[in-house]
Amino acid sequence: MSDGDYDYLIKFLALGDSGVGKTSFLYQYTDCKFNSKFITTVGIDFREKRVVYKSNGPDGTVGRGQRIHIQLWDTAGQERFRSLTTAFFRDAMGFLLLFDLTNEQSFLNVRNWMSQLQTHAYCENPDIVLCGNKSDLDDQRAVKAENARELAEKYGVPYFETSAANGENVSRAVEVLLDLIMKRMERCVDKSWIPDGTVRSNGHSTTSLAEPHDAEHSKCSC
Amino acid sequence: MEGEPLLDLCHLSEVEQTVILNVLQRDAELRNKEEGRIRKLQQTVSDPLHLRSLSGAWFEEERSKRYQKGGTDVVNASIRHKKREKDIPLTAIFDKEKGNCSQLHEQQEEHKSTERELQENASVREDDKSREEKESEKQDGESPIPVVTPEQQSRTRHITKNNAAEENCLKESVGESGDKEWRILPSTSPSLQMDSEGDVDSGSTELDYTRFGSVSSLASHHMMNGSLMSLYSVGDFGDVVVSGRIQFSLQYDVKKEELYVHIIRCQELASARKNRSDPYVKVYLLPDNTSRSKKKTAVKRKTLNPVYDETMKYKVRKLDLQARVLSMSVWHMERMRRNLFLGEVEVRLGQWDWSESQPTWHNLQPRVKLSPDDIISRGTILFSIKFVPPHSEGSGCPPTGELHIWLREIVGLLPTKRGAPSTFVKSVVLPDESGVSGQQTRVVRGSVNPVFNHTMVYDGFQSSDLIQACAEITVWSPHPSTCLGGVRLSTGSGVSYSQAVCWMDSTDDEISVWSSVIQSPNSWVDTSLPVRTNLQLCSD
Repeated sequence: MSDGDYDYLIKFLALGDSGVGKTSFLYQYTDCKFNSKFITTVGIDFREKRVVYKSNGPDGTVGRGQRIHIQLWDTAGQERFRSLTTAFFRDAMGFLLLFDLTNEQSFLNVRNWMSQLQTHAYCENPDIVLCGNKSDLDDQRAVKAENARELAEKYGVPYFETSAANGENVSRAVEVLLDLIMKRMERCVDKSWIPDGTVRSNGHSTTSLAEPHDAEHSKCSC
Repeated sequence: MEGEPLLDLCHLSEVEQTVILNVLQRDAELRNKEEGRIRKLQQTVSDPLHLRSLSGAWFEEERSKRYQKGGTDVVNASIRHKKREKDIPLTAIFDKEKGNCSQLHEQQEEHKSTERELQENASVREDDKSREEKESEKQDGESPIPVVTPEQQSRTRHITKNNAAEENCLKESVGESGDKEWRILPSTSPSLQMDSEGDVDSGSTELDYTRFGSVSSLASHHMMNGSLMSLYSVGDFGDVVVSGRIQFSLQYDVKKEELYVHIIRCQELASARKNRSDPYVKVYLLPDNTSRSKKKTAVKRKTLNPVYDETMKYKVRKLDLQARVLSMSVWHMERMRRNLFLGEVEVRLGQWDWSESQPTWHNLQPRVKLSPDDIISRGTILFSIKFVPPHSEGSGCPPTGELHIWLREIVGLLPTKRGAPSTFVKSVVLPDESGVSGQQTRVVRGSVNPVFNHTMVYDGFQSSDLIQACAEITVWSPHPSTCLGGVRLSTGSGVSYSQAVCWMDSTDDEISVWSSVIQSPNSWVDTSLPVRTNLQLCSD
């Protein structure tokens, strides 16, 4: 699969407490499968997937499909691997922060994970998607959707209730993250090479060229 | 942002590091391909902006404001650097304050069993805390301070002296836990020397509860009948029809307290794959099913009649030996999948003829699957018991007969979901109408081999009372208090002071111990008995 026959190599990393479903989430995403056995991750692992990305402009323009090769890093949630896994944060362009909807502590720890990301990621405000996983376990829910949404809003990140078991919102969460990265990439690329060309109002565009800096969302610290 | 310091990953086991390095290797392959792709792009793409996004340079430049090196590089360097520094200075080993690093050896042994689980894709729920507790437990050993109940103060000195003399003996047996694998390797035929980490087999070292609790690693112990191995094994064992036999000899060095298991060879093994097997032999000294107890021979390639000529050494006390079961199982080594079971032999060492030092042949048996109901034993309790008849010590002492129960340790408790269990022991001499005769030890946390070294003394007996009584010793888990099993020493007559009672349900071994106590007043009877879970429940 990784034969160099793609346009972009994008790296994501899944993090969160032990047992929230990071490995299952990624496995569902790459293989559309779910294994309910709990096999704790030894430190770190990764999976790969090839997708086609089409950016959408607000003016209705749709970019041509870009071939994306995604490397999805899977980190161990266990404390003992902490120093190891945080070292990998800097290699990822975007993050899937997972907690378990049936485990309140894992939700409370989202705050800590956010702080870890701020410290160890490639920049202070990386692109993150928050996922409340195990949405299929309705009767065991311990975290209210509105509380999770509130927290996500506070951090300015998208929130999805996902299920690695039935696939709910798994692809969607990854696609949204991919979209965030691709847009940031465009902005980053542009900012350092500011052309003296035209500036479009919303800043969305196709992936190819001179992209005006998006004044509204200057999250990128390039 | 100069040269970044390496990570301290010494708390990770060899196997974990290898697994991680393998992941890094895959990443390196991906990166190589990516670099190749970028090189081509650099030749074909003219627009520098476009190139910046296509090549990921946008990201790397951004990151370089914070970090000089990528994460994979740092981890790679950290692990490899650590591997080079494998020789730990002696001071570090004994420096308990140093934390995890100084417990490297114990942890490695511990993690080897955990690794097995990870590699086998068994379900493992590892509780870091309980494993750390277990490790520190092993490191510290138990402070062997004999504890005597307050009422017996006047006899304290006598008892203390006795315990102190036995202290060293106990310490050595606890030291069993840190024992390294030791083999005499043949100088002859070439063979695939399997590192213990390289082996992937279905012989799990921890009970599958959900699936453990493990590693836990953690785990992840006893049955004195049937095949013990199957209790701890996860998954299927393939469809290989067991055939053949194994030749081995056993020797026990009383002075060194060592058991030598000399595995010589096997004959007429079943072929696991098309006309071939790559067999090795795995040995456990049950009921200990942890990595401490697991030992393996080399793997012999493509043979149904492998010759091993390897001797495994176990440090085990004579008392403990008779309660042990030596399990030898033959496996076919599969590179990519679970190893396949080719047969096993179990030897109850209590019934072994130690005078026979010549090698003997034993037919390999198929695995017997036991149901959880068959678990009636949860460990072996080692203790000494003595009856002191009234006035036997001169000057009218003691005024009444005394029963002394010196509880030493329990060996091979079953691990729990959360790792090694916490336990305490209670004793009572029945009949106990008033309910005041119960005594108990402190709680020993996180150990499958807790050492209590606690003496309980009961008085008010006449010699004639002994045959009416029963000394019941039970093992408990705290929070909430749950009885894990125990032993009952009595004549087994079922009658006490002309009343039928339910608590005289002693096994033959228990009856035998009790009669030794009655027949040898004033002398300690040392014993090790299985902690059984089938104690008859009595309404009182």
